[in-house]
Amino acid sequence: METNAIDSTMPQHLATEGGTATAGATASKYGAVRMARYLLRSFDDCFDVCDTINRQVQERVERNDIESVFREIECLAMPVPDTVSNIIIGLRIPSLILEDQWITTRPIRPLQLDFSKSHKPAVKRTDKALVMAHDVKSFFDLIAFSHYLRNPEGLKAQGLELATIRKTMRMMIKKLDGVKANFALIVTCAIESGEKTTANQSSEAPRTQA
Amino acid sequence: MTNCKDKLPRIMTIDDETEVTTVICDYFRAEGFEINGYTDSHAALLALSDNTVLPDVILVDIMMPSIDGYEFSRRLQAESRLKNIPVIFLTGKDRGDDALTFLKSGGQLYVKKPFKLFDLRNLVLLSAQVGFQM
Repeated sequence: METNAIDSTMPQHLATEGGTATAGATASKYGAVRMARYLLRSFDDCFDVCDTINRQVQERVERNDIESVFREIECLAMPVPDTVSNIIIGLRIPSLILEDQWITTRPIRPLQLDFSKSHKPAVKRTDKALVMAHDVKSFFDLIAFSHYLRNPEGLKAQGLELATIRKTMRMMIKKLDGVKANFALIVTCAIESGEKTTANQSSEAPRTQA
Repeated sequence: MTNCKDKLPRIMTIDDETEVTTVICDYFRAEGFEINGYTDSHAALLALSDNTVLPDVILVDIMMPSIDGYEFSRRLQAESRLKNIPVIFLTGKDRGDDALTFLKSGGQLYVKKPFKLFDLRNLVLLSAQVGFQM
């Protein structure tokens, strides 16, 4: 079996747990951080995590703080050894966001985040495969990647359908130095012959490779 | 906590569906693990309070009658001898707010059903590693 163990050594300086670590300036208003870990096997698992945390933060955080909190929720990852495409994502969530009493009583319309200035995944194609690599430092980067995959300006603009690439996709991570990104989330999938023509239009190369 | 380099971790699994508990137990036993399965979280808590030998990892279903997975985990957190045992939540529910509630109740990892038993085995080994730091 192919192994997903690109690099299982995680940055230890980011590893403080148990509510003792400090968050960024805005997130620290919402308490010490706790590490939430999720098994991701597919895009859908990733979307679920992003949607849940997005909703919960939007319900509990002052509107002006939402984007800052997203950017300050640190995102880490490790591969699950001996698996093809399983990774564990760790998010350092401010603990007060977990408390029900912080739910706002006013009716809220979810803040629509502006991803136009965030970095896009690097995309590389061959005749048979597509490789996307997205640098991730914070929850904001993860949700931006999720947005890219699900929205017209992302995959669809390149002639690719999420439903199609979902069939053969594999997710991996590559550890980075933690300065600008903690890891690159790398997605590979086979391209069927019908998609090749439009998919070949982009020549952007991935910044990180598996 | 067990260092998996030395020996396989001891497991406790709790799921009110007998079939699920049986399948998990059969798989892990065949893989050489020591595992105790419960379909009732009361019985599992009783076993934890009575036994001097504790599991290294606990797998718990979230949706169970009486004491659900969250309450089970909260009760572990309230006892100093039990609170450091890693708890992996297994859920058949759509994630919803559960994906964060598990953290509030002291869970270490959140896994959505269905899962492959081989993958669960790898997660158990990871969770049992000292610290399971990312």
